[in-house]
Amino acid sequence: MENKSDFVFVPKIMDKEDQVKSEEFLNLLMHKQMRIYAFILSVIRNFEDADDVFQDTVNTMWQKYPESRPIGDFAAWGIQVAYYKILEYRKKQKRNVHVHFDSELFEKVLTAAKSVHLDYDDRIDKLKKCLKKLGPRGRKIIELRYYQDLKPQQISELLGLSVLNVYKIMSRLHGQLVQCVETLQRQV
Amino acid sequence: MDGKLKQEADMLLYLTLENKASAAQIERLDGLLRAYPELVDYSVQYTLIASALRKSHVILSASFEEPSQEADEQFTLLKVFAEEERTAPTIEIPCEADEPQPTLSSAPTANKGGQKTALYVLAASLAAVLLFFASVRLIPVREPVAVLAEAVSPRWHNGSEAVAIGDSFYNTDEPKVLKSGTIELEFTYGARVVVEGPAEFSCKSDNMVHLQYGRLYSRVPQYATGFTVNTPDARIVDMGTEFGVQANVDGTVELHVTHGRTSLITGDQKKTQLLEVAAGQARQISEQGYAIREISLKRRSFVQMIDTKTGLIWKGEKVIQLADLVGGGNGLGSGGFEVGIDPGSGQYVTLGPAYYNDHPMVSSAYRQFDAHPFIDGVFVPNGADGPQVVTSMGHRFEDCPKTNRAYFARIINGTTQEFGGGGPGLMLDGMVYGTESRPAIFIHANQGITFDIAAIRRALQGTLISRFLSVCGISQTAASDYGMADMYVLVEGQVRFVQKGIRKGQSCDVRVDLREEDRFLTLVAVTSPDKQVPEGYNQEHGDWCLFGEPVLVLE
Repeated sequence: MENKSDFVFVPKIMDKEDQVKSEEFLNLLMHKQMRIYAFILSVIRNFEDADDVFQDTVNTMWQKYPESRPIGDFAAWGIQVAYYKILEYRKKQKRNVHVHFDSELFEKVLTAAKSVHLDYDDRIDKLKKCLKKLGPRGRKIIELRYYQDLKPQQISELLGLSVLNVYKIMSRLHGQLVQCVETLQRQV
Repeated sequence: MDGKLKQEADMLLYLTLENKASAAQIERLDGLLRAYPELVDYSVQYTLIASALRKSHVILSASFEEPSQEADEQFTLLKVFAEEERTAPTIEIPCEADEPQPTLSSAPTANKGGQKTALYVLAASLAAVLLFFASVRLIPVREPVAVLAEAVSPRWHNGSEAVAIGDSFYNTDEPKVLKSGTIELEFTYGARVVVEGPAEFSCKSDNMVHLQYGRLYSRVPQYATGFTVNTPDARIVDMGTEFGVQANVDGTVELHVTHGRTSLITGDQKKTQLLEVAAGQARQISEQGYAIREISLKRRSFVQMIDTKTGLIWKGEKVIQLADLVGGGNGLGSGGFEVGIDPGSGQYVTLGPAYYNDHPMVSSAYRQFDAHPFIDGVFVPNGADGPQVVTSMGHRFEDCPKTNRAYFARIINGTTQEFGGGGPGLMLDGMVYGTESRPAIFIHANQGITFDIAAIRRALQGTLISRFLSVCGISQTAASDYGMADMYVLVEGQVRFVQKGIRKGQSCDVRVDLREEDRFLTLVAVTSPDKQVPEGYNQEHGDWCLFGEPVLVLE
């Protein structure tokens, strides 16, 4: 079962200028999408909602792109668009006061997110090294969750573990990776 | 940040990521963030790592090197985690559900419809098509993920697109269509997959293949556990095993597990079914993955291993038939009946009337046989001039009896011909040998043949060959009662079995256990040195020796 969308797309015939813009936009997005998504997730904090906000962000970026060209720093622009989308998301979420932090904490997290993302590329390089340092069990479970795209419940059934254990393992693995990346960052 | 605090923060952050944190847990997390300012940076770094793992190709890039060193550590999680569970602080985990908890997801859920609509609108341009994939799944980096390890008579959909042994398959390749023949892929992470044509497949990663239709058989080493076969309506995740998958064009899928266990995942994102299918079990999946029923295991239905050099196509048979090798086959029944080798010339022959009265007399030189990779050579044994050389490596049969250097009828894969006058074909203990159902090597004295069992082992990718089994004797159909022969089985020239003074109709069982390092297996039939024949008869007259059902047993 492949990870396929059930959407049916009917590509429109574009003129040459549109096509160039599309390709330009796509190229920029391909290289910077991760930074934008990482920023969103660091504030939204859960995958599901972050995916939605990211989707909205990309949608708006695409619509605004023609009038915003040329864009000096595509990632920074994307993060700016994402910021407004996050604010919209927070408004929608108002009733669920427990799902997001208050304004003071929100500002703190925003500041930290912007700071951490300054050396994003370095951190990703370090992450690759740190993944290799994980034990085989850790790498396997990370692979099952993120590469094979299995949910914790499925992983638990696959490995004969309790779901609780899967969460514990995953939480620890993320913590180990954070520490490892930080250690390598400090060595630079 | 002390260890306990970090452990708690890790868990709360991860539960939040997965949308499984309760309201109380989120409040606790926020409380910690307020109380410990350093946790704010930490939480951002934590989500950055998670975002990279989830959406980028960082896992693929990490490439998970040198898995073999880690084989013994794989999936011994239980002990470790049982200990962790014992020592970890108590944390409440909400029940896993297909849908997120309403309190946490009402807005995003409501958003979903709008999201889809937005995507439909976006879909109006080519860029949008690409955008969707760019945003939802990682944009894969082109990486080699498997190589073509073996191939027997492959025909690809596009004839010009020749795929040679050693060629790489990339994760971004278009699906490959194998029209006919059989190929074996070796994935970078270690799994080996035999694909039988017709089939359409793509190697999605170093540990995943997508089978659109066709048949494949996966052998997954312990360290590559997690190897995944995707079909349009099912996903099979290996748990250290061997299994066959047949995906039909009508969407039905069959899973046959021969070793270990697998997890079968069907359904869609909203409703997923997960079923363990263990060794000896088989399942058929239909109706887009919603109907699963038990079916009987087809243990010998899938090609499990192939060998390019020899054309070997192995479907899990437990033996290699040596008679079939003598007939020019691959040991699994592809050899020619009444085909064999002339030990005097070292050439293939087909038994016929020309040989009925032919008793050549040749030197005892060892004749290497290059026409078959599993047969090392042949010879006409004679110990008169010293030990007989019985292998291409010069191993010697020290106690080889003296013979007259004459032989009859060559070394042949079975026969039903009547050319001795004692009846058709070969017979021992009242049973007919040398037929398709009960093969035999007809090896009249004085002849010898050496098999290269190391080459067979190699072709079967290291499969253990545990022993040689057969029955030997002089056929009841021999031309006269004068026959009297000694039959030997040698390994590296050393006698591992001998039966001397065998007479017409006498037989005995042969069992020779083989060690992993054993390479050459030699079968010899010679006229007994004590044999007496009336004047006018050839010394080897009547020595109609045969090895009935000679097999190498595979483990």
